[in-house]
Amino acid sequence: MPMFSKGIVLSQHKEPAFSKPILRFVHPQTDSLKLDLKKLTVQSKQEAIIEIARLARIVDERDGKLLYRKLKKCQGKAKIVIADALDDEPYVSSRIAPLLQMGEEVADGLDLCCTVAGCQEKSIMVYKMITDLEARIPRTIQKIKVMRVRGGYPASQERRLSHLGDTPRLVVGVGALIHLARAVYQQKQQSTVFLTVAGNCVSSPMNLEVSLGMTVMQVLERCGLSQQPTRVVCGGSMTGVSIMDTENTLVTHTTRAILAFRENQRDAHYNCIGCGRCEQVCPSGLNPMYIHRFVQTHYYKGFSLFDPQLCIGCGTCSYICPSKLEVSSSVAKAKAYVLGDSADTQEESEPATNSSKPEQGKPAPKQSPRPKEARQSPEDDLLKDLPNAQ
Amino acid sequence: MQLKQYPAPHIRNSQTTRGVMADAIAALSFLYAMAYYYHGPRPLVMGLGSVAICLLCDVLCTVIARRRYNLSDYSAVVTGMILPLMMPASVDYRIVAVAGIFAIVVAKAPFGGVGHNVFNPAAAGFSFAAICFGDALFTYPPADLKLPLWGSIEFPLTSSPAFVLRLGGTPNYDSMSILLGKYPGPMGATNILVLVACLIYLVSRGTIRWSMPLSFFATVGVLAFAFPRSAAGGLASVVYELASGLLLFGGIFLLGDPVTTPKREMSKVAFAVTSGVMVMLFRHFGNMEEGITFALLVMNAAVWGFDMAGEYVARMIRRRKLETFEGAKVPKKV
Repeated sequence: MPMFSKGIVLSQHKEPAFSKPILRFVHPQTDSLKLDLKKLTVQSKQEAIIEIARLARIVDERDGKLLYRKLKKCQGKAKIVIADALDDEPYVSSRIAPLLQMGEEVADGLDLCCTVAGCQEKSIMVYKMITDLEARIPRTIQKIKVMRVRGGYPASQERRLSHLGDTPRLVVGVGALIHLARAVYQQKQQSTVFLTVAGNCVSSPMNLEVSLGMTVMQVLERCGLSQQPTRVVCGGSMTGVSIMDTENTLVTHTTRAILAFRENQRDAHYNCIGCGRCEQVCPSGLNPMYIHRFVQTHYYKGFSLFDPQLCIGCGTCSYICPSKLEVSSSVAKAKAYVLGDSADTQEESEPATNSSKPEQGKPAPKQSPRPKEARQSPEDDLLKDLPNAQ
Repeated sequence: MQLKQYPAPHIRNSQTTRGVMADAIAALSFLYAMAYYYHGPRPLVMGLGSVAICLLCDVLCTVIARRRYNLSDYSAVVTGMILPLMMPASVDYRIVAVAGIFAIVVAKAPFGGVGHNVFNPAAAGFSFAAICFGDALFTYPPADLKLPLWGSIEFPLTSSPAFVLRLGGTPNYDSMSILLGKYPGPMGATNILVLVACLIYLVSRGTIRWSMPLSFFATVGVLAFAFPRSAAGGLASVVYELASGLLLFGGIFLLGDPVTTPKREMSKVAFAVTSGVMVMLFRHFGNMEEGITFALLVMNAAVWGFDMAGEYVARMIRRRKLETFEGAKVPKKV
């Protein structure tokens, strides 16, 4: 369909971090934590794996969910297990690098997941459009087929896996698979996470295996800072969160990268010239330009035509904007407004229909379905936020 | 270390608004080079003066409105460069100045400056000048004539093929001289080959999109073929309509203005087709030999409607696709 963009091709900047061996940067006390599996009383192999995943507190880094819950949900149901190594954001290689360097553990983890899911089919998903790698990504890793996801950024897997149709599938991040294999075969608790340290301020960019709970500053100092960064990002370069305090921000399960940038460009104050590039690149087919304009002029009634709730937060609109406007954060605000608003009305309408509270239920239908305070509050929040963003 | 917080994304495309405008300036400077080749230094003086006046007016209006002015945003320069190119090389400098002042002070600044103007400033400025000084604006010097920098033009000024077409005649210029711009006309709009090169340059740079000018020219071509104004009829009429007057120039530089055109691809095409029809209506029934600027001003007022209609269609397609292909329920505002 022409109106849905297939994404934009970004220069990936994955080297030199990608080619370097993954170093361990761990706290000795947490690294030696072992699982106590003596009390483990389970009937089947499947439940044993799920129980070990629960005891090892493994978190899937791609969505922040506990792995044992995902496994329990798919137990005996999924037809295919997919290892997700889809690093489509520039600078980030914290899934593809462990996949290539610790392929055996990934394969073990995939086998364990297959045992739980009760299926034979397994696959590894990597992003194809990485052009600057020095090493080649093989076609099979440990005899497991590598599925290459084409297209630009964002390579959102929901859209790229459409050829599988409604096949029930289990998608697990590479990091979680490695930790699952370690938990089952070495009785190790998950105490580390794989992350990329890169950016133009980092003197030696690399992939690290870092203990959970280390501060961002410790990790940055491990790799060395060549200059004082102006912006430190936890997460990918397109969707990550820029942090304010490096000493008090900790590495968590979902930290995929720590990026330190220094920008020399001064703030240019361009107006939107309405070029429509944001609309061209939006993978959800939205029109970010109008949403941005409406948010800036506080015209919140007009959102129904623009579906800001369908935004997937990929940030391509801001990336492409020639006026360097913060389009995506405007769309995020509009999304929060629309979703927050409808959530409010649901909360308000539930007690109104509830028979246990007749004193509240009776006057409610006479009023407008949306009480004024409830509708005003998200708008007020938006208004408060706006000057900071500008 | 304590840092400032920024919203995502943390990397940006290198293309800037300034780059977009600079592309347009580069393309326009080719046309100035051609005008210099045909008419000597007078077009350059006109261009420089017009740019200076437009910039001055823009800065003044921005200061008066207490907006923040960014000098590196070249939009006023582009307006200033477009204006003289639509006029004959012999036109009085004062007319250029008046058109420039009108473009910025009336058509651009009151609406909120760059990015907010409803009407194309250059089209508005030219239309104003055409209404006020029609005689001076629609009589042209011969193509190969070097013009004096100052003083009155002593050579006889002639009418352009657009005027001949307006009267229902057939211009007697062969196709080679039309392609090379060797016929009297607006100083930037006669060099058909250079204009086509400019179009290809701008499209390849991504500054304008091919869909708009192509659908516009196609519409005009079809209408010219179906309803020829000259006795030559058919294909000759298509060539004359496309090559005469400001049509090609306007289709590239006025229609390519991102501010005053719709944003979505399908709205753009619909807008360009309607503009083509409107231009031909102005040519057939209008009073002047050139109606493209008036047609575009009328169409500019309808941009919002085109955009909203496009959004309705887009929302329909978007929701249908999401619900049928991906099984996702679109969260709707209750």
